Amino acid sequence: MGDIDIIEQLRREIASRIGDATTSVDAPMTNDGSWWLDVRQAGHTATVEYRPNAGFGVSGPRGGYGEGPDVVLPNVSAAADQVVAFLVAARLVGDDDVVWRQRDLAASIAREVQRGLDERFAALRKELADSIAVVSGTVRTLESEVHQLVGASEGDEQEHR
Amino acid sequence: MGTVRRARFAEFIRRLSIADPAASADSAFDLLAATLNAVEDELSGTAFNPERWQSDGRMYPPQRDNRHAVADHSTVVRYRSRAHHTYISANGALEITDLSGAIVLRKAGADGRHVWET
Repeated sequence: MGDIDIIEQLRREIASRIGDATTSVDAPMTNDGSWWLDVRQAGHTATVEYRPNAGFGVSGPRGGYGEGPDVVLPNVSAAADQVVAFLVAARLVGDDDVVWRQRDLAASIAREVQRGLDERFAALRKELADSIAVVSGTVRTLESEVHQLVGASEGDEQEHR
Repeated sequence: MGTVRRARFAEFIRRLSIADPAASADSAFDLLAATLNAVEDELSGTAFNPERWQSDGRMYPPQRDNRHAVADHSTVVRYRSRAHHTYISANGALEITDLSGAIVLRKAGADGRHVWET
């Protein structure tokens, strides 16, 4: 299936879910560029960026400049479902600025928490690796000492005979 | 925690507005990218990592492979992003609009002409 067929399938699936939506396609200049599908309903826009072999990036309304999509999905049906979800949510929330600011703040906090967890896990992994290295060194030293003791013991036995 | 996105975007627009105008499309693209990256480096609290552009909440400059021709304006190129179009003309002029066409930034090139005047 070609890229344009995939976009058309996405457009049909969205139309079958929300009949009063209008869609427009922004085709790329190059073969590996992104296809954009904008879906408008009741004054709100959801956008799908389809990048061949990279999936469907779906964005709800009120995106910021240069930001990535809200979610990346692997197939047409999941992308169509997400578009519908964003547009329904936009209708329910409307243009309440406080709600959207809270949403931005919640997303910022979630990212900060995730970053903190990533850093902590990285530090723990390093501590664990360092500890393993120390223990391994100690084990090697002990093994060497045991071999020396065994060797010395065997030497003593031969002398006694 | 970094500064909220709206304030960072406002700062990006402020700095881009007062920057020396560019004299070519490449210079304009570089000016936009450098200004946005500087703002995000200072205020976002998120390190520059283009591999995580889809999920890290940082603003990134337009991708060169999202470049589009503009009908009837052979000297103008358009870069598509999630919620905006960025137009750059051969004289270094810049224009950023949202998807509805509302202008967010309009900056003339070094020759004093705007995007649609070239």
